[in-house]
Amino acid sequence: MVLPSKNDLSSWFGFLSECAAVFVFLMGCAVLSGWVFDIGLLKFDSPNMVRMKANAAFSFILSGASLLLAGRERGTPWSRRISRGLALLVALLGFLTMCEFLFGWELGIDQLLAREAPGAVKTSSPGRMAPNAALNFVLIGISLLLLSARRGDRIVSALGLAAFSISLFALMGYAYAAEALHGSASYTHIALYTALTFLLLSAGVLFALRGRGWMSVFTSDGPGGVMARRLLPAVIVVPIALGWARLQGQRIGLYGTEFGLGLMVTTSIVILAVVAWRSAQALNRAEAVRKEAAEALARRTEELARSNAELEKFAYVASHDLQEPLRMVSSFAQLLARRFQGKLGLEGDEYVGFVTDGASRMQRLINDLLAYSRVGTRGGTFEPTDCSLVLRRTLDNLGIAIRESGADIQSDPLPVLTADRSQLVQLFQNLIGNAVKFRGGERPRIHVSARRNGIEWMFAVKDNGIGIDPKYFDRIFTIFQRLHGRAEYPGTGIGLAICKKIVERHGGRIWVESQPGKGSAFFFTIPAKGGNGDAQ
Amino acid sequence: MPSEWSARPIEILLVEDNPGDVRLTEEALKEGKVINHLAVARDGEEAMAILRRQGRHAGAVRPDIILLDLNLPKKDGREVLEEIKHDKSLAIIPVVVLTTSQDEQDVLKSYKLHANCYITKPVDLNQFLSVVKSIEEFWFSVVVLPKKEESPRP
Repeated sequence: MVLPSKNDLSSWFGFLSECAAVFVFLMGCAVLSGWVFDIGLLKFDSPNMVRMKANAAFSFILSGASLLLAGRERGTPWSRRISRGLALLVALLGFLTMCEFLFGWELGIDQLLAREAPGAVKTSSPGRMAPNAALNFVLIGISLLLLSARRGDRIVSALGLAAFSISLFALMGYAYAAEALHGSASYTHIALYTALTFLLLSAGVLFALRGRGWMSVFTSDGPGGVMARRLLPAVIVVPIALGWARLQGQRIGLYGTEFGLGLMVTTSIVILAVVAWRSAQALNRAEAVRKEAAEALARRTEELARSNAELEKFAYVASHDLQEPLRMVSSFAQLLARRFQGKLGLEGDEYVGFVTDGASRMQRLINDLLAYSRVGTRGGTFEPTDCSLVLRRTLDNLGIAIRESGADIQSDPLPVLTADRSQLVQLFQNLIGNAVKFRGGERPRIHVSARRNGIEWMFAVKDNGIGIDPKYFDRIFTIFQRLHGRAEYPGTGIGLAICKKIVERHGGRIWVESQPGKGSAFFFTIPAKGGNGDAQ
Repeated sequence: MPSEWSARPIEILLVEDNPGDVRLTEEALKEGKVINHLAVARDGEEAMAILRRQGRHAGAVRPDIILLDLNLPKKDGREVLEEIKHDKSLAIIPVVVLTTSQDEQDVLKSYKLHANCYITKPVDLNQFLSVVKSIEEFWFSVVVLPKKEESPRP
């Protein structure tokens, strides 16, 4: 098994859970075979020590297997079902054993798997597991049931923690050699290695959540997660270790109860304070780094917004101020032609013709640049807009071109959106205008449709025109990009760039699907709730 | 053509900083049928000086109509318009805003400042000529302008 990278906490947790499951499973197998074949070593037999009962070992086998199956990220329905079955059996066995204790029943389940001679150490009834072990199996059985059903992550967390606490409590009894902690005098006691196995099993259940439920605090990337991961191990280990040390010291007569207690409290305060202080430092460092990153991001965003605004302003001002000298060039060239036509010679007339033609083309380019920059700088407000009205308006505007080409334009019912109305008209006009303009030999057939796609509407404008080679799909949306000579199809190559800008201002995307000679389909999306509403 | 026009040329004040535009307007008016006299102010301050007959413009003639560009050096066309329309004696002179700006804000602001009309300069020469011609026809033939009154100096 390859260790997962440590920063991927979720899979790290999964790995820990699997380890715990395997350990529990093997422990159960060992002890049960020890019972069945009566091998003392496997039962961890030792004088005056309570043993793990056969039923408990069996339950551990079931729990381990169930946990292994339930904890898997991608389990098949069958593995889940088996896991649930095993978990149910664990809970049932625990529950029945508890009933035996509570109501004094004798169900005959205790000696079913293996017989234990009467009079075993700290055992109330031969072969019967301790009551706290039975309770633990009930808790763990239910939590495994939920875990394999992928439900109630919080309940799983709660049950897992309860089982963990019970196991810890029993274990403390051994650590501090206080019998009352690992069993009541009249009932069977929980064995040391049973308590340990329980501790691992309940930890395995918690880890199997892979950071879901209450465990999400530990896997979180936030400062809370960092703190939880740093503090919790100390919070668990320090009191246990200090408590044990204190007891040892008291037992060998170094100090009395009061002094020992004072020593323990002081030491734990000092140690925990140091841990808390270090964690706080780490948090502060993390916070400083985060703050710096956030500030850098804010700076970048601001710079970007400013340079964007400047660029748009530049385009607007440039195209505006470029008009003036251009008007001079074209006006005086025309005046020259008007006053001196025929007096300049053929060549002179031709040259003047080039000047006026070039000037008028530049004029169109500048106007288009202006229109392009206006999409961002002079956008209208976003308001509820009926797209079928938008389409009707578009068809009115394109009236002449549509009549001349004899285009047949069909439309599905179109939705009402929150959008910039006049920009939508411009969008439809450019797309439908293109469909009419780039028609093939036959009569143009154009179809406009829209369908809801989750949170957005997807529009399509399909035609039977000349189509586009896929290698140009990206290029056609850039400004002043043309695929045809001016003589074939007039235009500056701004239309689709404006379409793209309008769609993006509304928070959507635009793309094309086409093949040469087989028509084109332009698609664009617009969020149903309206774009980012950045109307200025 | 009303007989009084032949007696006295129409006085036009063109406020325009671009010599090319001045020349084009002159050419356009030359082709027109109305006898006119064109005075040119190159910036807003000069325009106000002419209108108020200040300094070296003491002998300036009060115009019958003002053709005003908006983007001017020193004093902006919008300020000139505002000053004219706030001056009781000058307010009655029709002001035709003749500019390259197609900005809706400019259009709106000009009318708010009581411009008498707003015209965008066409790029095409023929269109420009016909625009000047229609200004001429409308303001000098169709419209009745107020009688000239000699206003006291401000």
